[in-house]
Amino acid sequence: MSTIASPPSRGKGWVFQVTALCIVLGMLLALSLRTQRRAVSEGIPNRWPALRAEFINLKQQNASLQKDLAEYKERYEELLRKQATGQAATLGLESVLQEAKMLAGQIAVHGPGIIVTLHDSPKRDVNETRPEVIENYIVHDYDIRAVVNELFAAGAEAISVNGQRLIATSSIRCVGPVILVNSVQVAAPYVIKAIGKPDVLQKALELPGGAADGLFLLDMIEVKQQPDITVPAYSGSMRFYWAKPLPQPKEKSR
Amino acid sequence: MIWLPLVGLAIGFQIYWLPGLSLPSSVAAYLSLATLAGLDSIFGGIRAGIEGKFHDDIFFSGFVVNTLLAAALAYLGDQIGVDLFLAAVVALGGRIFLNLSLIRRYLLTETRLRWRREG
Repeated sequence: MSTIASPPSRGKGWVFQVTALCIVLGMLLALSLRTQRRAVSEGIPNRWPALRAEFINLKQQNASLQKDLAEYKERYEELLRKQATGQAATLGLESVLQEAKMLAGQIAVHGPGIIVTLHDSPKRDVNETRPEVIENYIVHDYDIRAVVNELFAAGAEAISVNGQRLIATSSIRCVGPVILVNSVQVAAPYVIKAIGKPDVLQKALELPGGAADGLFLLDMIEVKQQPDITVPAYSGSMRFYWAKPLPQPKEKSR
Repeated sequence: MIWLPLVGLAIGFQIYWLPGLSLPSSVAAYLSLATLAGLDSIFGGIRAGIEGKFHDDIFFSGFVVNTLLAAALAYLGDQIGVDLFLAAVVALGGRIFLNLSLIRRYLLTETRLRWRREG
């Protein structure tokens, strides 16, 4: 074997040199072990620094994303709940409002009912001149009141007189030769539209000795049943200047 | 005689182990590789000694250069994205096993010869 650097040292001299370097190796080994333990105790993989950085980065990102996800899920649930309750509440409110409006005559309604027409009696003698006799043959405000009252008593749910919807504050009266309904002048023929069960409404008017008995006698009234009539909404204004709602005890349901 | 390096190893180990010295954890991998290279040099030296081909200059320079080179190459590999760390581990590990097996054979042969001489 050819010598490259120096002639090989014969004998056991090499053992001491190996021992010398073994001391250095031992120091290196101790240092390496210590450093390795430190790396492990710091809880990070010691290889591939670039990967390690990426790993830590991804781990943090993952954690924050998980947190975001939980947050979004919670918000989603909350919105769903809100939507559900909101919809129910809105629907409930709307139906209540609709009912109240119908009751107050604020919206037009339609349904089966009767149309009552009142006009002056054709049986009047044209030669008759006595006012107290003529008076009996013409339609008065109290005739209309009586018919309307009878219809309401028979279960009419909406009534109009010549297009004037009757509401809670409606009045029917005469001023001289004209009749005012809701303070609006109306003229003959008086067309009263009433929504309700047609048969019942008609029978109520035809009751012998009833409110409209005299009108039938003098042919001043005509009653027609209709499958579908429309009663318009109250068109005047309705303001409360004096009446104030009394605080009500809270309803338990709802 | 052959146990002398082991004693040296223990002494050197204690010098650094007892004070509890350590380097930043980021160099742990390179330090491990340097240790592996040092181990390779030691076994190479032992084998050469047994074979009677021991050169002290090759041995010392090999130890220093190999440890530094192994760590440096692994670091370079990390920087340029090539896993030279594994290459060094495979090369050094292979050589360590080769040297160890040769040393074992030499020792076995020597022991057998001694027994035959004595027996």
